[in-house]
Amino acid sequence: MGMTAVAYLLTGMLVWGGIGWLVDHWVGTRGIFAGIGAVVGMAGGVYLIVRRLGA
Amino acid sequence: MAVQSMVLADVPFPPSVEDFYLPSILPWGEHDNYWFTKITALVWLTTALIIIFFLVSYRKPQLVPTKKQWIAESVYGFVRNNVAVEMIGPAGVRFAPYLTTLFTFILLNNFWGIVPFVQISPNSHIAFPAMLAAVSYVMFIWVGIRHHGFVKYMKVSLIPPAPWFILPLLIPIEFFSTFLVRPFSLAVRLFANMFAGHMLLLVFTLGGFAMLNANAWFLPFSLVSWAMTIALTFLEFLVICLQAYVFTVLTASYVQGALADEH
Repeated sequence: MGMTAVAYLLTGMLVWGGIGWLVDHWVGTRGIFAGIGAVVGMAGGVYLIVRRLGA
Repeated sequence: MAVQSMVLADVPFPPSVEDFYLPSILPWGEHDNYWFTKITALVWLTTALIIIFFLVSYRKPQLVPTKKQWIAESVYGFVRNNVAVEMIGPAGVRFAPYLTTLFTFILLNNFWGIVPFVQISPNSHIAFPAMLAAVSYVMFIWVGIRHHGFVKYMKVSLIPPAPWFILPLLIPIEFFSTFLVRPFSLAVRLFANMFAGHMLLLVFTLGGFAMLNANAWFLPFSLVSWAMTIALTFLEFLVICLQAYVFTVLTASYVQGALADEH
């Protein structure tokens, strides 16, 4: 289902982007971990879509 | 001017969130009292209408259905076959009554949004979609735990088929999307559609008056604006049916996900 796919993409970015943002705050950097987190989270989301919704 | 005197003296424009909070019915006309408003009345009316309709049409079931019975059977048959069984499979018949109730309740509640002189949907207040989403949320988790047992259900829904070293990356995403985003998106999707629909109709109706009040020569633009209101009402009808259907289908698909054995 389309909804589920979109939800996975968004939550992937939000969860790992959010964790990265927290790490940024903790370490004192200005956004590098949030950026990395968002990209990694999106990759995770895509992977989940392929595994759960793909063939 | 002649035209201007026909128009209501002062139209509040632009519309705001305040327009969704209608004066109280009991006690009559009181502001800042939300115990019994038009919204409350509409929800009770919806409930009563659905109960009475289904009771009356199933009172004496005929082999060759009467018109009312045919409508009731069509609605139930539609949700049962095209939503419950289609999404969940043969086990879905168990959920057909709940899904039908959900579908008719949302459909009728949404429909108040375009009934002339009523024209506001209770679902444009987030409390009602949120409550419905909470019911669906508790139900699909309960069904999953009943079917698998708690530990196995958590395993099925949180651990995707993947090599172990990516699991730490994926499990938070699964947790977030299954247990936090689902109820939220279910509620917000319905609420936002109904809210935006009501807002849109308000903007075009009141906008027509506002333009006319500004200058009587704007009459043609006002007429276009009101024509747009009518056109948008038909668009709203589409949205109303679609959102009731989407809510039901998504609930069914969550139940299906909770019952699924392997992934």
